[in-house]
Amino acid sequence: MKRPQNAFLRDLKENRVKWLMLLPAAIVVILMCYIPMGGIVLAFKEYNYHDGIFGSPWVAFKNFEYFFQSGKAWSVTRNTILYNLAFLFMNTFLQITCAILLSELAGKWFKRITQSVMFFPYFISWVVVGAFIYNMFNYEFGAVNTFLESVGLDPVDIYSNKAIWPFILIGVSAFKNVGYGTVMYLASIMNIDGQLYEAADLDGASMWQKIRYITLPGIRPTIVILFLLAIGTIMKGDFQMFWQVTGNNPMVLDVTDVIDTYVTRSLLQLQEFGMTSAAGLYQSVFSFLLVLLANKLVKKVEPDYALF
Amino acid sequence: MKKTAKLLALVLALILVLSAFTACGQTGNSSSAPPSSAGSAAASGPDISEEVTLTMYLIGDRPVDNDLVFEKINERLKEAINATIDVKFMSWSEYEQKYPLIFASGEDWDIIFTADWCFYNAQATKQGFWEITQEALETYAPMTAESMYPEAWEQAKVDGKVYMLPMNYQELTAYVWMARGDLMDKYGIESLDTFEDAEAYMQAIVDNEPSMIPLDVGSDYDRQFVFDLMWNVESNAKGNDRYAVLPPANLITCVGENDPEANVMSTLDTDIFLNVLNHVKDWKDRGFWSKNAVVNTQNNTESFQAGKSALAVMNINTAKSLYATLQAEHPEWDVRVFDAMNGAPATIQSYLANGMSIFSKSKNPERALMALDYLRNDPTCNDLFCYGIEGVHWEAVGDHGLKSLPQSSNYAYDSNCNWGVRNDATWRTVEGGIPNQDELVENWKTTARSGRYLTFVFDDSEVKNEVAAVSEIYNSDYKLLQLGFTDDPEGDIQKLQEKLTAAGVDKLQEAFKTQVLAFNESHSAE
Repeated sequence: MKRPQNAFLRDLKENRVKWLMLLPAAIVVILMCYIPMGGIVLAFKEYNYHDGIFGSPWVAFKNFEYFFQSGKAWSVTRNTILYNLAFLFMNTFLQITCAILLSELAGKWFKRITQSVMFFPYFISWVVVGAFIYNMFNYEFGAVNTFLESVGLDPVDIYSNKAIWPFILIGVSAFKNVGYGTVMYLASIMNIDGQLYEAADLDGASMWQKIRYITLPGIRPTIVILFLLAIGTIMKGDFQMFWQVTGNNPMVLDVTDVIDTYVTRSLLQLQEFGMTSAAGLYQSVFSFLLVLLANKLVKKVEPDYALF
Repeated sequence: MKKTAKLLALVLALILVLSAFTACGQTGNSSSAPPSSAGSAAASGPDISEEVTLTMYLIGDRPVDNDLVFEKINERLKEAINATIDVKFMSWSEYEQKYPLIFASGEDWDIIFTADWCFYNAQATKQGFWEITQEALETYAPMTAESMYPEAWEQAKVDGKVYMLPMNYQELTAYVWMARGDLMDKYGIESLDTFEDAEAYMQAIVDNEPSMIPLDVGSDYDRQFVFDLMWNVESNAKGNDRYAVLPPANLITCVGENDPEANVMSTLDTDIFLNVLNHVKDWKDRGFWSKNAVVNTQNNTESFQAGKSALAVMNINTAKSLYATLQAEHPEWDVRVFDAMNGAPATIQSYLANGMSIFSKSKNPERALMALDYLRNDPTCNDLFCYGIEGVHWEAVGDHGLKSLPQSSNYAYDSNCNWGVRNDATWRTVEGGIPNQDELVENWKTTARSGRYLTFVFDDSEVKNEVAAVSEIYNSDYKLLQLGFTDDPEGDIQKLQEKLTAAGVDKLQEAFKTQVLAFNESHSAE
């Protein structure tokens, strides 16, 4: 009992600067993540303002029922997971490709500018992206149809075409997120020891061989960690994106409805905090299980790269 | 040391007692001890010695001159009750999300606009509002206590308690068309009094004005206007067998108005739904509104105002202010207003259609009530809030009329969410407003009805899961039907009925039926 405590205290003393550096992050996580977790109890309560979060009466699992009642739970869960997997693979692929391309580019100015331009969409709000999309695809006066008509083709009604929406969503997700990830991978590529490339040059390796045998293995830890982090949010649809970009369009709901948008539509008029929390808890528990599973898999294949 | 402390306490207490008795202006005992306020409240009359700033939430966008107007209101309030009001706005596009949030956020605010269509019951049952007792009303709002219509006070009760000061104003609601006179003349359309006339006008626009959408309805609340118009006409044609749609509308439940058994059903189950659906579908198919209306977030009045559409449908009250604005902005359009009811009776609104409430966690609920008393009844405050600054935004015409001045575009008549303090005693109508307004209103008055179930309030506490599931359908599939988006009306109705059954609509209707029967018991037919 006593020894580990002493060991901890000693560690605290020896590495106090490091502990101090950890402190701000720890405080933020405790304040923003751990303390609010107490609110989970709301999922099992019928909330009213007067009694507050902890005083409101318990209702067991009643808040979860609506989610399964209409039989949409499965289809929205499936959509959420499939979309996030598609985003994850598509974005990771594009991010790595762009990062490698940028790292191979010679011109410093060109590189900088490209990087900034790619990063820029990350800062545009989804509301604005949604407005872009509407102005492009609107049937009567949208840019796409105006163009089609001017070259003598028939206009297309994108908003009632179910097949096309998954591609649009994957496209806008890439538009917004590729730049951000590219910067992270680029940083990771920059960290690879330059001597490795010099040695490869001496051995007469082609550019493709260098990428295949030096760059990709070099950034593998980054890929694995970013992948594991992304798995954690796989049950959460990016609400803003799905709501704004599709314009909450009932005609294509079968293929665009995710958990978050479904819950919003159900509870918009009802304003039941308990039921909203229930949906959040459902997502979090599933995400947690997925992270555990993914981590276990990684541990089996590459024990060094696992998160824990 | 101890002695000094005791002495100090004694002196302080003495000062407090004295200040409570003299209660003179701003002696500022704010930061001292809490016992003082308890002491002074027990004394006579409301204690207004401490200056307070009340935060008031309104719905809509901040009018350009809002701050100027409230500066004047605050001058008056400061002098009368030693309080000032700070106004915050939540816009129409976000109020549905934001309204419940500010109750839960822990933010410090006091007064808010509310209505039966704007969360009154939802927040009252969640204890979001401060209860206004008869006693509080008489103590802090004597003018209101005197002028309040007794029916309004009764209507405001939720489980026997009142949480709102409903407007002191009898309102008639009916839909009107607003059309472009220049285009009507161009295509030889004389009036829009019947659906056929309206169709002819819109068809002319479709055929000849490719850059316009005839009636650019949006996906928000105005998506249901056309549907409702047609529904009302069909329903009214059934005479005594007409249907009454039960509030809230998102549960799409209705009942035969004079059915003693109260056989509650979904609107989809009625014999008129198919006719209505075919009618809207016809309009949609003819291109009267956009093929993308379900994702259009601009409402049809905005579109009309921007010149993108040739016709708009709206409530008569919206029409009044929009007409005045458009006369000033686009006199060349020669805007005209027509009755869109097609013979269906106009509705005499419940008093709860607009009102003001006080936040249950307000730090100064009494002062908030006093402020509301002034906003409602004090001619200076009421005029300022409702119409703006006299001489800048409007000028009086007699006792009950006013003329909008050019500056009124910065603070338009009756449009700053002041509806909760409307008061028949001081109300002014716009001179030079819609020319045929009197004729329209006279016409509606002959048939207007208050609706059997206008004040019916559905208690959803036992069926929340079903309410959520049905709301979801209302916000997705039903929305499509309201805008006429269907290729197979009968098939889609049947599909939706099946979905409703899966969502548990039977249990919901059972709850409705029980409550409607109980309601009929306590509110015998007029």
